[in-house]
Parts: sequence; structure tokens; C-alpha cells
Amino acid sequence: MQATDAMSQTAQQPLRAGNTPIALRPGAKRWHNAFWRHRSLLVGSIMLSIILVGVAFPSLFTDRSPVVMNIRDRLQPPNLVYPFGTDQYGRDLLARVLYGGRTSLLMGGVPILIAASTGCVLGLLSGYYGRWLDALIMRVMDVWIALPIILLALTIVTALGPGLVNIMIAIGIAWIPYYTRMVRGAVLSVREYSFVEAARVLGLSDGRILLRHILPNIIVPLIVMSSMGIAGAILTGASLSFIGMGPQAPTPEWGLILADGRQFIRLAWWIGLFPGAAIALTVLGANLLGDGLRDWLDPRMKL
Amino acid sequence: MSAYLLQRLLLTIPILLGIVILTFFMVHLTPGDAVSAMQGQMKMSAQQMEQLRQALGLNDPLHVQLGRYLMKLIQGDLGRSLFGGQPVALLIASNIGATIQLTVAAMVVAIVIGMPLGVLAAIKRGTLCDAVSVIVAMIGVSIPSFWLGLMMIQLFAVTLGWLPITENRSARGLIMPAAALGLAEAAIIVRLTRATMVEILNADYVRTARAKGLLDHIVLWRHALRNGLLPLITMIGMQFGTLLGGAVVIENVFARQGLGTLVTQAVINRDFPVVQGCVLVAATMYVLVNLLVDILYVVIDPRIRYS
Amino acid sequence: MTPHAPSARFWSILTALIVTCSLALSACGASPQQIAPAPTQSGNIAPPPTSVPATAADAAPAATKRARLIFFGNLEPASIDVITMSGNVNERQVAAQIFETLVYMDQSQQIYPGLARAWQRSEDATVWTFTIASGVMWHDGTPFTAQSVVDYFEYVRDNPVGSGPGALKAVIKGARVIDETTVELTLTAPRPDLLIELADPGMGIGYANYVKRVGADAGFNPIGTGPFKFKEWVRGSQIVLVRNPDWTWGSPMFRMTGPPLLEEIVFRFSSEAQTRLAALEAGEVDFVDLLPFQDVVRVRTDPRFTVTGVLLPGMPQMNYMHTGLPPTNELNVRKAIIYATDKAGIIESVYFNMVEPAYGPLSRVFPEYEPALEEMYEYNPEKAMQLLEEAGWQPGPDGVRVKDGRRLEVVIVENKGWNDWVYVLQANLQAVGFDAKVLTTQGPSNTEAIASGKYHVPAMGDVFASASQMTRDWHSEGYGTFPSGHFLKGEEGDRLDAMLKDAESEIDPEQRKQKYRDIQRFIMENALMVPIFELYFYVAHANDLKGFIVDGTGFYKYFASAYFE
Repeated sequence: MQATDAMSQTAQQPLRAGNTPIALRPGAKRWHNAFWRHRSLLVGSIMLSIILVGVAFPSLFTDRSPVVMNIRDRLQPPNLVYPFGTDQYGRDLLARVLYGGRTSLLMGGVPILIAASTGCVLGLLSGYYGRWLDALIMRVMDVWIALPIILLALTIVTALGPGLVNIMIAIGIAWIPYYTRMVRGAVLSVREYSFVEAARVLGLSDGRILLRHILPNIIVPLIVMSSMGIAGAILTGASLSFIGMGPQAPTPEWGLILADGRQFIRLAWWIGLFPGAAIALTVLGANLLGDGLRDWLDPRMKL
Repeated sequence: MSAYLLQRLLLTIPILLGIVILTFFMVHLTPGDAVSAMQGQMKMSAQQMEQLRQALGLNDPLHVQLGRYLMKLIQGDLGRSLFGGQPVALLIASNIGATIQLTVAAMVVAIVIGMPLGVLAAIKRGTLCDAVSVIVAMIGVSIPSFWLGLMMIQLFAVTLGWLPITENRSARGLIMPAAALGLAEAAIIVRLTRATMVEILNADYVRTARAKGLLDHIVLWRHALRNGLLPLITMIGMQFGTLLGGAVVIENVFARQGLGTLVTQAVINRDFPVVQGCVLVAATMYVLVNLLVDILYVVIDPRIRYS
Repeated sequence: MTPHAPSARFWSILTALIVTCSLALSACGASPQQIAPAPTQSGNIAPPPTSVPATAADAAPAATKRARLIFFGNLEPASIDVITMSGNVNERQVAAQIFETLVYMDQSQQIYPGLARAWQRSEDATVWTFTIASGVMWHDGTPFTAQSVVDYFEYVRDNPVGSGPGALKAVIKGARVIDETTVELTLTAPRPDLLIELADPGMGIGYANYVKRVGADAGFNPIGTGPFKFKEWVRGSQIVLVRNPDWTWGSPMFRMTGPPLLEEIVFRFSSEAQTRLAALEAGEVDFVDLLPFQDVVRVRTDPRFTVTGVLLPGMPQMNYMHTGLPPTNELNVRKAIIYATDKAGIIESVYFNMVEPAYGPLSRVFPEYEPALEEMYEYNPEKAMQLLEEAGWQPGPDGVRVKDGRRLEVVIVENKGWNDWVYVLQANLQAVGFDAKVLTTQGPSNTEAIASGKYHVPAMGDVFASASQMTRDWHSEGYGTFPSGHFLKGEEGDRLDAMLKDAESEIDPEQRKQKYRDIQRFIMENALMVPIFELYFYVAHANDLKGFIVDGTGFYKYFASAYFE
């Protein structure tokens, strides 16, 4: 229907309580300019792309295996043969960092997926239906948030045991309250709008309202938060692997390799340097991307 | 005011209760059993293991066990470690000092470095100075603190030899861990401070003050900062939780005795009472710190009381 | 080109290894330099020495230049009472000063009277009679009598205890007081080497009545009869012991008639090897345990310190091979694994040439060691591949061998931090066509994984001072709750069980040697294990520290007679 379409189009724009919605006319040229103007978005995207390519196609950068040991070549500093040097078993560090990226990135992505989807559902329910459901969910979230993420993850690991899957579950669970709160806030700011009221009056089902009108308004903050969330999850995942709670050797993973670096700090500084740099660059890229997205899509967003 | 504070205080109790219940259930998710986890340490016959289970009350339904735990908790008894039998409360008490030391030191480093930089960046918004601090802060937020710690060890302890690789009890031994944890935190504070200050500096009342002809620095100090202090204090309260988590990792990097190494070892040993106790204590500290922050908030800005 | 420095992690391997396995000392562990005389095994044991044979060594001087000894170990104990502690090395080290054992054994394998001044045993070594020293007192002033010893044994028999007394728990039938100073201990099975087991610091006589009264708290405030009393324990910082001024009943091994010369011993702990080392080199501590290999050479050349390297007797670091699971149920596969293992590579890369290769289930320092084992296998990947091909394992498309549609897959179990060699082993196996995976576990999960019987090649090692202790690592009944022997199924398992039981109760020393040699050959001929290396460890102490005595395993130090000159 004409009216609904216009309303939904307006509803596409991110809204802030107290501000009137701005109707932007998306034109290709304007979009193009905006993208280039936001440097952090650009830099972040480039960084992440490079890292993703390296991690997804390691064979482009090295033809060595991350697990094959060349004992005679152990503990070599970076040189022409081994650009990142070798570890205590003679494994090529470059290969380990590249292949390890897969696990590390997985540890960033999957938990956020878990947290975002669960948080979304909870936040929508809480914000839309309000009253006792809202109060209940929010109180539970308050308690949840009181537990520092790493400690929460450690508790879950105590129960389930260390390992990649368990860590992903643990971090995912730890992040849920942040998403719930954020989504709830976004829902609350949109709920009062007349178009939602109108939709109700028109008899649209709750589900339809949620999906077609409210959800689009929370997509943007969701995306921005996820981008930064992935950064945070990668860091948390690496930290937990570092202390031995994550994937077990000989699976390469950045945090795990860093732990080896700790072991050999006197003998081989390179084992600690490169995986750490990889983590830093990936997280930086994700943060830049998140910042850039936020600046581009809604500079007024307080995230 | 006291009504508000009382209300806040009372609200804390269900939260703490919720934390206890949550940790209890998480820890008991385990497929294994506390007694079977002890097998590696103590020599017991199957019959004795069953007796131990009875004694520890592990055969009772979960809610009964929870109730028992709560009763003991009120009396200050956090149970005993499965590995050695020490009272958990005692273990935590001996280790918590070092962790608090580290966390506070890191917070101090973060504030002392972060806040002035953030304010500066906000004032000089748009200039090179601002851009540089934003970039540096961005990098700082992305660097894993344990990597920073590792690099510091490499540089200051191994290469230069100025500082010990790790030392438990002296101030010298605190420098690197506090710096590693604090610098990462400082970056976060720079960003948050800058964002808050930018908003304030653009606010109406500041513009009015400027328009009135007040000197810049008076505007800054008397109006902007005073109002900026509040959200900043709140921020710091919230960051305390992050710092605690970070302290766990940093303590492992520097092999420092503290709550972090205690809980890590307990997780490895599947020493449930210790893990539960540590998480409980940490969460409680976090809640209390935030309560303190809320109180400070009210004390500083009387307007809040009435909202 | 590449630095040859051992990993600091090795020391955790060592410690953890010793933690897992009970240190029940038994007879027979020759020191690296000399072959010790086997303890007398005939019907009546030779009477204990009433005076120490005169040696060129000095008698303890009247005074010590410094009154306090600072010892830096690697892991803070959880508890230091002999009865309640779990029994890891650091706990025993501290307990060795606070408690006393019935007998003592020094590094030359000589047995001395301790709290027991004399002893006798029955023909079949199941009934032992001890004469207890008189005038002994607990640190709280209560007299120590034969009843105390009986209380102790009965407590061990009836309650969960750590790995120290745990070793004997299963065989204690009962103990009774014959008179004020005589105790009779009855065992359920013959233990010819009982004295050696009793000499382990973990077997110090504990204060059973006190433990019954205060429970686990005894571990943080122990009461013993030894030369040093417990003073305080600042968690995370140090344990302080002070001289026991009433100590006049010391073992003749210490050659002292009065209290120790040292006034105080301070135990500090740090898992960080570099910290320990730095403290030693800065002169802050006098004794450092578990030196990392990479620093041994450097510290050795420092004139201020003395470095001692000791080979720990027992079962060398190795991997079991599960004969009940395919593919390791095939003899050729097991042999292939042994031929494929590059021991020298492991020793060089992981342990920086600071340990020695092993060839069988017993350490080479035991008199029962079978030298013929050294010729049985060598590193020969071609031979390994040949054996696999003979058994029908042909190379598959991805390099992993297949037979009848099944892949050659094995799982290696690692106890994290203790079995670092498994990664090299994995690589070695993969090079000859195995699909080898490593399952990393730690502590309790390691015990669980091995007990489950689901994995082919678990890593293990053990420390003990008498060959008869190897039963606990190979008999199908296992050891306490640790199911060692269940890897051996069917005929081989039963045969080995019988051989072990037989050898254990053999009284005649020559027969005994023969039986243990047969057992070793049996194990290696049937390729039941992959031997890797012999455990070594290094300690360093300040040169002016003298007079301390090292025990029979070479691991524990007694400071009752120590002094600084």
C-alpha cells in the first residue's frame, strides 16, 4: 500500500527520540562520496579485506604447512626462508599465523552471531512488550552484565572443559546482555512513533510490526555494534586461548601461539611478535570499520 | 537523598543474589563430577568416593545444594577447595590484595594518561593534535593487553634488563603489569572522555558562557569539566569489570600471584568451589564499585536525586 | 645457528609428572656413579647400623655463619601435612623437614634408622616389627609413642589420603602396639622393599589424632616430630619453618645429637623459572629447584653456585600403546611406531640434549635394568614403513595408510605441560603414514582420558626407587584409581600381570633381577610401549651451603644437618 510503503521508507532511516526522521534521497553519487569521505571506513575495510584474504587463502602467501615440524630449523629468527621465523618445533610461523587466523576469526564471528541473534530476540521482546516481561529480562541482564566477560567465560569453561566450541559458546553467552540492552533501547526509541501506532491501528500483527517496521531501525546499530563486538570477541578469544582455555595444540590460533611466545621470550621474540600484531591489526580493522559504519550511517548514534 | 540511596542499596541485593544463583548453575553445568575430578589427587576406593559424595551433598537435588550454599554464604563460608581443602574464603583473601593492587594501579595509569589526553583532544577538535590522539587511542584499544605485556617484558626485562621479568611483592614488579593493563585501558578512556567532552563543549550552556565573555579556561574548568565528571565517573565504574577481566590475563602473563592465577589454576583443576568463589567475589566487587559510583554521582550532582 | 637451550616448560613437565605419580620409594635405585648394594632380602634383615660408617666427610660443625636458608621451589603446595596433602614434590619437600619417617635412605641407598631404631620382618615380608625411638615428642609437646605409629597406619588404611601414604594404603592390613616402643605392622601382601617405601618423605609419620580433630586444616598448620617446626604460611609469599629446639632423637644419618644449626627455613615458590634463577643469581635465595636447561650451563660456570644434575629413577618418559584398540592392536603397527620415533630429535629439540634416551620400562639406574633392550630398536622410518606395508597398510590417496577401507589413525594423549615431546612424535608418525592426532588434557581430565581406554597412545612416566613399583604402571588393576594396565588386553595382559605379581614377591635378589629382566624384554618384544627419554633434573645452590643430605631418589633434600660455612 502506498501509505505503508512511504512509512516504511521513512522507517528505513535510523531514528532518535526527539529528532524528526530525516528523509535522505539515496543517490548513487552521494553514496559514493560519502564512502570515500569516511576514511576510517575505508581503511578499516581495506585492512580487514587483506587479512581475510590472507586467512582464507594462505596458499597465496606460503606453501608450507602450519603443523609440519622441521626440527633442525627450530627457533630461527625471521629470514628469507622463513619470513616470520620458526617456533620451537621448527614450524613455519608465517603459515601458523595465516592458518591460525581462521580459528581466531571464527572465535570472533560465531560468538557475536550467537549473542546478536539471542540478544535481538530478547531485546525485541523486552522493548516491544514491556511491563513485567521487560522488567524481568532487564533484571536478568543486570545480573548477567555484572559478571566480567572473561570470568563468565572461565566459569563456563570450568563446567564444559576447554576447547574451541566451548569457548565460542562461552563468549557468545557473555555478550548477550549487551546486545539485549542495545536492541531494547533502539526498540524503545522507535516504538512510540506514529507509524508504529498506525500499524497497530491498522490491525497488523505484532510479528509483522516487529519485522517490517521495528527491525529495520535496529539493523544499523546492530551492525555497528557487531563490528565492534567482533573485535572484542577476537580479543577475548585470544586472551582465553592464551591462558589455555581455548582450542588445544597443535591447532594454530593466535592466542595460543602467543602463549608459546611467552614460553620462549628469552630465546625467540618473533614467536610473540607476529601473532600479536595479527590480532592487533584485525581488531583495529574491525574497530575502524565499526567506527566508519557508524559515522557513515548515523553520525549521531551514541555507540 | 537517602531514600534514593536506600533504594539503590536495596536493589543491589537481588543482583548479588542473582549472581550467586547464576554462577552456581553455570558451574554445575558440568558433565563430570567434583569427586571424580579429585581422582588424580587422592587415592580412594569406589566406596570412599561414594561416601565423599554423600558427605559433600553432591547426591542431593540441585536446588537443595543451592540452598545449602546460600546458607553457608551468609555465614561467610565459601566452601573448601577440592585440591588441598583450604577454605576458599582464605584463598581468596590472600590473593585478592595483589589483584586489587594491580587493578587500582592500572586504573590510575589509565586515568592519569587517558583523561588529560581526551580533554585535550576535545578542546583541539579538528586539529592535528586531535587526529593524532584519536589514531593512537584507536590503536591502543585494538592492542591485546597481554601482547603489550609480553612486548614490554621482551623490551624492558630481556633486552634492556631494567625491570625483572616478574616479581610478586615489590613496587618494581608492579610497574609492567600495571602499565600493560593501564595503557590499554587508557585508550578506552581517551575515546570516552573525548566523546563526552565534545558533547559538553557544544552544549548550550557552554556556548552561553562563552558568549557571555567568560575566559576559556574558566569555562572549561568550572562548567565543562564539572559536568563532564559525572559521565566519566560512571564510565570508570563500568570499566572496572573489564579491568578485572584483564587483570586475570595479565597476572598470567607476568606470573603474578593473585586472584587471576588462582582462578585460572582452579579452572584447570576443575576446582568448582574456588572458581565459584572467585567469580562471586569479582562480581560483587564490580557491583559495589558501581554502587559507589552511583552514590558519588548523587553527591556531586544534587539534581539527580529528584529524578 | 640455533640456540640450544632447554625449555623452561620442561620443569613443569617434571614436576607435574612427579605430581601425578606417587613417589613410593622402594629399594634399589643406583646412583649414577655407583651400583648400590641391594637391600638384604634374606629372612632376617641385617641389624641397622648403630653408628654411621666413618667417612671422609666432615662432622657437622658447631656453628653456622648464617641462620636462615631460603629455598625457591616451583609450585606453592596446597597443603603440607603428610596425611592430608596430595603429595606433590613441593609438598613432600616441605614435609620432609617437619615430619620424620620410620627409616631414612640417603643418596648412596644406605638405609638408616629414623623414628624406628630397629626392625625385623617375617620370612614372607608381610609382618614387620619396628622398635620406636624413645623420648620423641610431637611439636605440640605430646609424647610420640608406638601408639602414634599405629594410629597413623590405621588412619591411612581407613581414610582417603594423598599419594604419599596412598601407595601403602591398599596393603595395610593392620597395626598393633606390642609394647610402649614396639609396633607390629601386618600387610596383606609381601613387600620386601617396604623399608625403601617408608623412607620417602611422603611417608613421614603424621599426627593422626590431630588430623582427626582438625581435618583438612592440619595441612595449613602441621604438627610433626621433625627437626623444624611450622611457624607461618603467608599464601602466595612464603612458608616459614623454625628450628625445633627439643629435637634430640634425630636419625643417625644426620650425625647430630641436638637441634639443627639453621634457625629458620623459608620456602618460596614461583612457577616462573626465570624468577627463580634471577633470585639465585642476585643472591636472594640459597637453593633453587628445577633449573631450566637453558641456564644450567651458565649457572654451572658461576663460581658462587653448585649445580647438581640427577637422573630420576623410575619409568622413563614414554607412551603406552593400547593393545585392545585397532590399529595398535597389531604388533607390526606398534613396532612401526617405535621405529618411527626420532628419540634423538626429541631430545635435541624439546629437551636441548639435557636428558638421555630411554629404551624400556625401567630406568637404566636400576640393577634390574636389561641392557639388551638398547639393541632392540632404533630410529628407522624406512623399517617402520616396511613393517606397515607387510601388515597390509598401503599408502592412501592423502598420504595416510589404509587397509580394508580403514585409515591408520591413532590418538596421542598429552598431559599438558608434561609431555611436550608428543608433537614431535606426532610429526614422526605422520611422516610414515599415520594420521596421528594429539588430545591435550590436563590434570583430572588427563586421568579421565586415559582411564576411558579410548585412546591409542597415551603419554606417561613415573618416578620410583624400586623396580617392584613398576607394577603400578603395568598391572591391569592399576594403581589406586589410575588404571594403568588396562591397555594390555587378552593373553599379553594376563601374562604380564602374572609376571609382575611373581616378581614383586620374589625374595631372592638374583631371581628377582632375572624376573624383572624378563618382564622388560616381554614388554619391549611385544612392543607395548614407546620409550622416549630418561628424566633428569637440575638444582643449584649457593656454595657456602653445606651438610644437607639428599634422599634416595636424589630429589628431596633434608636440611636438619645443613649449615653455612
